[in-house]
Amino acid sequence: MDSVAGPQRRHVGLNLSDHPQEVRDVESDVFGFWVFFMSAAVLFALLFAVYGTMPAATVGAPGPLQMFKIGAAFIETLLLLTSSFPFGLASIALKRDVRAARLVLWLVVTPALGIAFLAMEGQDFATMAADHGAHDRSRFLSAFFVLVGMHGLHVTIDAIWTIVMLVQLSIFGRDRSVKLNLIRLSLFWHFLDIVWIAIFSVVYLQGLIQ
Amino acid sequence: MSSPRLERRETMTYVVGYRLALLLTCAAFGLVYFHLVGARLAFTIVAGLGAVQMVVQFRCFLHIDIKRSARADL
Repeated sequence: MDSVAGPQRRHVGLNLSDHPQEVRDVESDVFGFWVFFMSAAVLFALLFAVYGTMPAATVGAPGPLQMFKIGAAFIETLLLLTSSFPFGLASIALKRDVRAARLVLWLVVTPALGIAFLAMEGQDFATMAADHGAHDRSRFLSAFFVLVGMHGLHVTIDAIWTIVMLVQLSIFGRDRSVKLNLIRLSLFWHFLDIVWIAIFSVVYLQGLIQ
Repeated sequence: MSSPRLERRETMTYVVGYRLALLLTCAAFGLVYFHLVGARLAFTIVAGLGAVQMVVQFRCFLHIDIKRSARADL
């Protein structure tokens, strides 16, 4: 196994260079961003804890069974999980390809899927609000909208960031800081996937189990 | 080590990760949608599938493993 393992991994995410010194430089930069993730993870953990205390606190407003639609949640999940895959391919294109075309293609596909996810989620929220399930109707709904909305906000920032990176890519090419930011951005996409796994498991599916 | 071999390995990591993610997601949603098991058991299995999928994501997409390096990141 070790014969195909390649050079030692110095930091999370795909290590772009096989050159030890270069990878070591990137390591400390990526670690700083990783610490930011950990603080985001704490934030989401707190929101999950708050949500976990609220399922019964519907005070007459619609609960999970009336509000959540498994079909929409499923399609949203597929969109978001799928958006991570082209970014993986973008990381590989960044590492391997001489030409930028493939990298740009994957970097366009990724936020497109993210925006499709956001559009569906937004429509979901609007339907819920119209269906007597607005965020201010009950403690349960407040906790739901803060938790899932916070994830949606992160995905929004992610999509905007990816578009900014496309602009930077066209202006600066693949210089060191652009590469570094793309590594950070890839971690961000994959991280939000993990948060969404917790959301669809804990919020949507647990809410729909009868 | 040859570079094409490493490249193929890296690509396969993403492909395998994505396939596993789809499989685990469909399993969790299918379980709830078709009411395959009782509520209490479904609750446990969904949580378990979610936990496994998180490990898959950490391993295949974030490239974190316990053996080499990156241990401090955890």
